[in-house]
Amino acid sequence: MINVNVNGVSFAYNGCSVLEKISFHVNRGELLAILGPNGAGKTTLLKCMNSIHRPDGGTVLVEERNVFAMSQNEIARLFGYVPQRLETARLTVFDSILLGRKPYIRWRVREKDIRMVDAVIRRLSLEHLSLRHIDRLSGGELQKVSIGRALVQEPEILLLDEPTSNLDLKNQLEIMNTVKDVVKSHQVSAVMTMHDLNTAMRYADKFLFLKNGEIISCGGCESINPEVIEEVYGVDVEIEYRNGHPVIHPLDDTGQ
Amino acid sequence: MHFSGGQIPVEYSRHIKVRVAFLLSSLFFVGLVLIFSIGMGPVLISPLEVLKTLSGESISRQFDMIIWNIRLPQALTAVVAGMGLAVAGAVMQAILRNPLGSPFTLGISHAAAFGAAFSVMILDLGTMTSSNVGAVSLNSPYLTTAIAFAFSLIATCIIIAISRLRMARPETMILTGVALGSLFTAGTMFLQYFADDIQLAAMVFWTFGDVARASWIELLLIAVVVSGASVWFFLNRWNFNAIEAGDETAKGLGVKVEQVRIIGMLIASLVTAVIISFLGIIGFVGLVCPHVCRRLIGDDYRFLLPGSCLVGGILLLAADTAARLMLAPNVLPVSILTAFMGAPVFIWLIIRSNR
Repeated sequence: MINVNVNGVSFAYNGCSVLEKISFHVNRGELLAILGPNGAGKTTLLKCMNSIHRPDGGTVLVEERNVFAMSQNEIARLFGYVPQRLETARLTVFDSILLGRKPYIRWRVREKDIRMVDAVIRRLSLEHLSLRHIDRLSGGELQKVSIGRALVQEPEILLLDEPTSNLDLKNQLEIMNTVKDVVKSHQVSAVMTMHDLNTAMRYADKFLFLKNGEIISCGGCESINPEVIEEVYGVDVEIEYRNGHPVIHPLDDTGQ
Repeated sequence: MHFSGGQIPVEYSRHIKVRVAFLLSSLFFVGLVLIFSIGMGPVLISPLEVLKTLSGESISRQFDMIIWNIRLPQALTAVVAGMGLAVAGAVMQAILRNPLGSPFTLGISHAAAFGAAFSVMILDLGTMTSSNVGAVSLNSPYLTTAIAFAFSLIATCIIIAISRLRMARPETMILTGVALGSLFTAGTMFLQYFADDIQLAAMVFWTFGDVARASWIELLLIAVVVSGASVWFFLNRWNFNAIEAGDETAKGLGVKVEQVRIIGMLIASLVTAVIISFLGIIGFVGLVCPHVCRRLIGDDYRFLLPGSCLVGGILLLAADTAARLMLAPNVLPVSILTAFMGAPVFIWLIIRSNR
């Protein structure tokens, strides 16, 4: 069942086109990876989806509802956004995650909000850090807090901007397993920008390749082939399948 | 998406209770310092006599006169001005996402000083009189106040106008403020260079921030602005928390970041401009008090805003009381003491935070 439908989204910055009529859809329980070289428009596309950037044309529909006709608060209840750059403050882990309830909090925090934060903290195994200030966390822990904040927004769609950048291998796997598990168990959608092709291949259900603001390819595992990657990144690769997962190996000048 | 099975953690409840206890004890401390401050001076009045007089029981005409006409308005002005400067500083630090955010960083106080110098020099409002308070006074203090206030608002409007051109980015606000501060300082120096002795003395006299300048009417005006602004700030506490987590995070949480930043900046500047225009420049309260609170209770604006307010009130009242007493019978303007106290406290905070 289609959850989010992006139709012909275009965006220009200072007269320069950044996105050119982008269209795709993501189903419930599906994880879409947006891939492409630096400056391809991946982050801009993500920010257009939840209206952080207002596109010049096109629509984003969540179950037939037009996102651009909604208030920012309504949008925040639909999309949980995890930015690439994470800021730290002297807030506790609990309060940082509680901040995700902001679209629902009117005058005071309700018991329900506290209980939900506690449940998410347990889900992310952050109980032992609950009262630690976030400026004392490691990169992986901080990323988990940011994801936790997005989860307590009770979103229909998770938007993650390079969630595994700057993380070591163990933390990369842990974060991606958590995201995939949440997407499957709660039947929400996730759209994430990524640089690491092999991590994307391992976890995503669909792949959207962007170059210079245009879609080069969009589809499942079968849509990935050395020609697409050569066109997007300008690199020769070979694709090997291990346990059903494609693994990409860059080739040198000699084809090795 | 819904996550169930969560509890209300005991440790978190305790964490919140500690912060509430801090606020309540600060409130109690404001009352305590207020009573002692009113009792201290050339005529010593015991705390019990202060309380009786304040409750309407007349002990002596002399005490009534001293408390109701001199010490109470001065002490309350110190509390309210301290609260206003501190809460405005905390908000500026939030919206500028910069620990150095304060009325000084943004050149608002420099603009007010220029306005006062302008009124003294161009409108000829400084005169020499012989009084037992001082030899120099302003012959139309309200006009000087109004002009200082007008220049503070001009500075604020310029900062907001320029920052709007650059999507209300905090760094644009700070850099414009620093540039304006420098410009108004140059303007003040220019006027001072051509001023005669009396004008120069009047200009310098105005810049010494002193809470004794306010009577009940000024106090009422300051209190109305500070309380109105504080309510708006408190209603936006979650927005400030979100902005502290980064502009993108805040936008993703539904915060209209540019709007909150510009309105917050305007209101914080208005509070500062009103206080500075009536009392003169009082430095460091807006910078130090929020940082003291951050060290004690963290960056959560639910507690930081009321905490800064209360600590600001305590600090300025204690400083004013000390300034009245330490060189008696001479009375120091409180701004000299806040700067003396503020700088070492701030350096101590920097050293502590680096550990």
